[in-house]
Amino acid sequence: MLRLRVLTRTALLLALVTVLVLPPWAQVGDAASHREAPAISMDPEADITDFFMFRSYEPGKGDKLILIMDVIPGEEPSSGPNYWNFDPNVLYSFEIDNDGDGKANDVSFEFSFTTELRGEVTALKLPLSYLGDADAPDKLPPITKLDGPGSEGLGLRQKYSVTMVKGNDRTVIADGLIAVPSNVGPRTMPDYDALAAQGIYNLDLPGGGGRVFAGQRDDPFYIDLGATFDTLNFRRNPPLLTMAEDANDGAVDAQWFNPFGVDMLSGFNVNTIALEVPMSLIRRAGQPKIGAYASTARRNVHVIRRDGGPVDSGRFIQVQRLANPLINEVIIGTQDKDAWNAVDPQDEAQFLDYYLNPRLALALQLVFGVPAATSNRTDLRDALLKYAPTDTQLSELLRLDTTVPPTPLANQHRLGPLAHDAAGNPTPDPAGWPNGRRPKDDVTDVAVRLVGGPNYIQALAGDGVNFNDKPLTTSFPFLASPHNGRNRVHQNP
Amino acid sequence: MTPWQRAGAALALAVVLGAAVEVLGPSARRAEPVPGLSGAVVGGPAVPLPRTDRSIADLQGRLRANGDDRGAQTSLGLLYLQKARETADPAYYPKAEGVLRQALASAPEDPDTLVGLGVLALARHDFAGGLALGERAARASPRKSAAYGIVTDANVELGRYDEAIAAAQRMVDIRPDQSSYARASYLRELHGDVDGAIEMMQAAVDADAPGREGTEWARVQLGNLYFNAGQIDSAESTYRLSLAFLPDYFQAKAGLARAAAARGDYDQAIRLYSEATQVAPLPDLVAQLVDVYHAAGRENDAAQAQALLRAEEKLYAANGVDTDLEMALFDADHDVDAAGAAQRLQRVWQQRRSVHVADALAWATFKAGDCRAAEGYAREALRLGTRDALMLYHAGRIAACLGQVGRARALLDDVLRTNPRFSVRYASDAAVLRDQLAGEGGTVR
Amino acid sequence: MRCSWSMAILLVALGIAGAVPAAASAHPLGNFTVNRYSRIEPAGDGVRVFYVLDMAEIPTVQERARMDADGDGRISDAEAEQAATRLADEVDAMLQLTLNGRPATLRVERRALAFPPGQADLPTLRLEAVYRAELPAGATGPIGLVYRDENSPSRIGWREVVARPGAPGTELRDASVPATDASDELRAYPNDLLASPLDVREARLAFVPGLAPGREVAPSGGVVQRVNDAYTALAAARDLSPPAIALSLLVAAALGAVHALSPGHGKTIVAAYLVGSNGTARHAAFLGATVTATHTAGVFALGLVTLCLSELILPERLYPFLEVGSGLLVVGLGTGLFVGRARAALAGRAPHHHHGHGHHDHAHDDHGDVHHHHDHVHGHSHHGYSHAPPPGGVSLRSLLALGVSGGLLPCPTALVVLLGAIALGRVAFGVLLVVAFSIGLAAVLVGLGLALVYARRLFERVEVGAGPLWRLAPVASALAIALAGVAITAQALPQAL
Repeated sequence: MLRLRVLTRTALLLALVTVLVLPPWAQVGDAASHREAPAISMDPEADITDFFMFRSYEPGKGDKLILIMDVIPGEEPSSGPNYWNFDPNVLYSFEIDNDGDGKANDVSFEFSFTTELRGEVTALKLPLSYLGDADAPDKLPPITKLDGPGSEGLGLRQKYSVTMVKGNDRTVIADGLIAVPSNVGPRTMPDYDALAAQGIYNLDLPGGGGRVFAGQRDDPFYIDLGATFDTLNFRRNPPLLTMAEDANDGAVDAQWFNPFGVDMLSGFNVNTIALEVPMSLIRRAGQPKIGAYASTARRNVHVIRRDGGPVDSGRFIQVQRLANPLINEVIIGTQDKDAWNAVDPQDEAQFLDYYLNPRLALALQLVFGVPAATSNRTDLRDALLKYAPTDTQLSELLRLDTTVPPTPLANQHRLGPLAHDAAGNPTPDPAGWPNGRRPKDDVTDVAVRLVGGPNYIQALAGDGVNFNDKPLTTSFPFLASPHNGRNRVHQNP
Repeated sequence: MTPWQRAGAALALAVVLGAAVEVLGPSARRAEPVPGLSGAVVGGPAVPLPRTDRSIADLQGRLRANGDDRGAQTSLGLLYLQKARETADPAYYPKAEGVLRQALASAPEDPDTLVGLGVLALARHDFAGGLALGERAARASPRKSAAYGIVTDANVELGRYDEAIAAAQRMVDIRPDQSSYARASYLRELHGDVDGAIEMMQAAVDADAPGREGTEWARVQLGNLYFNAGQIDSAESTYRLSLAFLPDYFQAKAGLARAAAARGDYDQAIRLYSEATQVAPLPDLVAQLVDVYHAAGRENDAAQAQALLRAEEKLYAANGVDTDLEMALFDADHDVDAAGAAQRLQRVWQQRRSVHVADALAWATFKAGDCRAAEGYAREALRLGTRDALMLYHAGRIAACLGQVGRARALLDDVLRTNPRFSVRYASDAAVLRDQLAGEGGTVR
Repeated sequence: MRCSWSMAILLVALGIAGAVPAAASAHPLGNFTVNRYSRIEPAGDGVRVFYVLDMAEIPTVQERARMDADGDGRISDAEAEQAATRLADEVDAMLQLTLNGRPATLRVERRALAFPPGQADLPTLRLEAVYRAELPAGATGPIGLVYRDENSPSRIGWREVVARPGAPGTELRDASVPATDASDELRAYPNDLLASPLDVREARLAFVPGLAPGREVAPSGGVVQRVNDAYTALAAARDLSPPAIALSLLVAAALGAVHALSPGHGKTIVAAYLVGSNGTARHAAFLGATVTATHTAGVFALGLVTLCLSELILPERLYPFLEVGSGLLVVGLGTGLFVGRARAALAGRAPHHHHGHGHHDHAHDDHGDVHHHHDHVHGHSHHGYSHAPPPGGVSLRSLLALGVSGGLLPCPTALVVLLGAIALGRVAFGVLLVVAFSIGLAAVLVGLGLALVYARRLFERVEVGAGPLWRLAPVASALAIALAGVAITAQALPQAL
């Protein structure tokens, strides 16, 4: 017995001596009580997952410009009781450049939200945000309206305002609009689509009408995230599509299955802000091209308030921006992400090196062993940061040539300018990314090919996911209805 | 052979190349949360804990396949730290340290890795070390918000409040979010701006999804701010909300226990404290439980809980942790070797001049019988104007001991204005003493 | 004890005694944890569950407060006995076992409670219990089993469930849990950086019981060695940079050296031998090499036994036998020397007769290897004595025996270092550490021997050593060796029996 104890103790001491270069690791002390605020916050409400901008392809609406931003990544549809909401402390905005100087300070649309607790939920003091029973409407009316009778069960309701800013000119173009709540389930919200349709508001704007929508939608992005994340471990080796597979755009007749990838974002929702405005309101004479980005901002604060100062008075600081897809994710280096998000796109020159020497190209080359263009990518610089190669101003904006007519949804090609038919004949769709961006565009495959270079374009490299799990709609707000919380599924479509 | 045929053959080999993972891995779009890459990371459902586990499992798998994946090492280290926060399980700390050190070996100035090690240093109360790591991370990446979080926390604990404010301001300038708001709130609280602190902590709560550990932590802090301002009901409903979003969250249970004790519902308080300490027997919670047992007249239970505290004290000492402030205060409260506690706190005070160290030192010195010396420390403790009823009470007792009737009365008035139910042990004492002083104006020992 | 003394000395010597927590055998999973292990063993006579409950320091304090019925702050034998029963029952109440879908009752068969010492002189708690449930009556074919441990669900800690046949004829199918331990019944928590603590609370399987009754599962009484996890944790967490390796090796060597300085380890024997014989630097070096080799080999052998045969032999049971062996070897050696030298002395031929200048020079000229040395010894003995062994000379065989006896008893520390390294997958590093330790050990023995050899020469020069007393020294030293051997044997024998 004695020996055993000796053995343990002495060995421990030896161990400690052996590593005496480092202080002993505390055990109880680890959990001690200084104030440990979280080191890093996730901030999903300010996290923009996608930004779309295109000429409306809704029949007869080609003179409208559509701007859409999605926030809150990976909304699990069943996440009650509060589900998913916009953040009242975040300023959401679209920032637009219409004079070709690369500075997106000409027109902007700002959205700010407020949250109210109301109706049955408050009266019953239930810890639920949404209540309703389609089977017993006398006792608990289901949620069929955003306001008035039929909205009693809408306990947590968000309203928002839309402000247009042109220079120093601020105009509130709408106020008191109601955001469409998350799709809770069929008992509480028996006809969600009808409910959501009430959330599409007409706007009276100079130059014609427009519309706005804020609320939950199906996440339109499609990607084999798991395979990408697993060191580009795609489900076909090498990850190349056949000519026929690659030409499959999921159009009316097409077989509705992905060549080999799994859409990891299927069954998840996002919160969407969609805006339709007359093109004439944005476009400036003699300037066919516009550039734009989506932004979220939170108020800065003075850590220590000045005496008598208001509690909270800081100006808004951008916490995230998004123009072209995947820039923040695969172009910008980790250490610069906070900084990159905070600066305006017109100050992009400081990050030029990331564009000229894209790490994605390096990664592709390393993993697949196929040469990619890894350095001096002036082509990427010109495509992503300039209107024309002669420009000197570098701005990371999503750019749209407004003279290109929109393609009807049924004829859209997911590969945009790289599209082809099953025989390999080019069928370019000039209205797709990188000329603006539509929900249909397969930005993953296009990005892999454009960044990888000719070897990747010719070989038809891609992640094997070609479609969203829910069909897109031909009309505003263009994204599919969200999955409901009760019957949600995550599966490979 | 075409390039792609060659590629097929080379793929197996190439997959092990860590650089590729580094490029794509941590930053892949909407990947599982990779802390340290704030902004580019996933948000998510209100049930956060399994998400941490999933991400941990995912990264463990990646590292088993490729042990040199530095990005994955750093992310895993940060996730282990998050897991330790969520579970209060210290077993994750050595693991975090292990992978973070591996990552640091291949990239000595990686800001995310340095932030992770900074969090670790702070967790084991190596504040000077944490400060150095935070500053190093900030040098490596001057616009990285999280680096300034480490610098802020370390400076607060070291009593360097101006530096802490500067770092927190820088942090919020870079990125106003939950992490920076929470720190701004704490600095406002320390400087006596209770309303501003509440406002800011509410902003921190609102700035992330409910149910996340970070959000619920902030919510409990908000509850504590209400409690310290004497708004027991608001505090209680805030704790309840936290518990609804994150069931069994021990910090919220401890908050509810404190509120129950303040209301005089000792049975409820004991039940809740016991539940909380079953999960995480943190010394401050055990100490509060002892006080409630005393208040409820359950002396046997109090003695047992006190024995537990003694054991924890020994473990702290054995682990080389500097004297825990709560334990030193407890010793002073219970007249357990107050002189010894004062001596230990003296040593701490030489290293870090925070108001909380000053307060504990003042109280222990007072209990050891030296009111004159205690007064100096009490003034240091209140130098920021912190409106903390217990600290004010300590100062009031010391002033009374020195016969400074006016000052003592003013301080005790402040105590009762701030939170008349601030302590199970001293609340009634404060009121009695206040009345006594009002009536007599004499010295009270 | 010897080892810990040497550690203490070294710590003081390094001036870091204050920096290193005393006896910091912290619970490897932290001071808060309550850890649980179940091994399900179905057999022909029922299903046995071998259960281990391992509490770290803090829950132990909480638990002991409950046990201390009379409130005297101590746990008497009676209280411990009561507590063991109660704890085993409490655990039982939260175990759920169903066989073929019907709840089965687990009954306590045996239990044992112990309080292995933990950090800061606080006890930890280890309960081992064996439960048994009857097989469903009349069941034919495979029996479905679902087992769930519902004990303290929110408490942090390691949770492990394994299942294996309880008898040779039993067959398990589709078990949801492994058959082998990850933690050696909660004695050694793996410190894999890429593995979270195990959290398995449930097992599902089917089994065909067979006819053989289950093997008896006996609780060991709880006082089981806790493999040094702090060492593994610390070592695993760090990179082995070259300076760190160098430092570790140096420290290991230093520990070996200090270990040799502590009482025992044949210093007296070595001294006696070298004084008594014509010891030279070469002899001392040979001796050192032997000690190193023996000690290293001994550690490896014991490590092997521990790893491979620990089911059959408890390593700690081997120690007394090794000590007896070592002691007998020394007795034999001493007796042999004594007989030889006594004869020589009686014959009036003093052993130191040979220590002339020539020999001295010879020793200095001598730069060969051990084999050369061997030749030299032989040549030397042929000089004056035709019959081996030379009473006062150095014989290879006795030198070897001496070295073996000095190194035969492996220091437990070295053993644990080796096992720790193996547990970490750093076998080579562990081997290096053990070799360094052994070298340190040998260096001190050799150094002492050399010091004596040279001291003796000094004496010879100044002619102090002449006289009958000095002539008897070799005989006396041989006697001392034999007596030391007897003492070692006598001390170890009772433990071995």
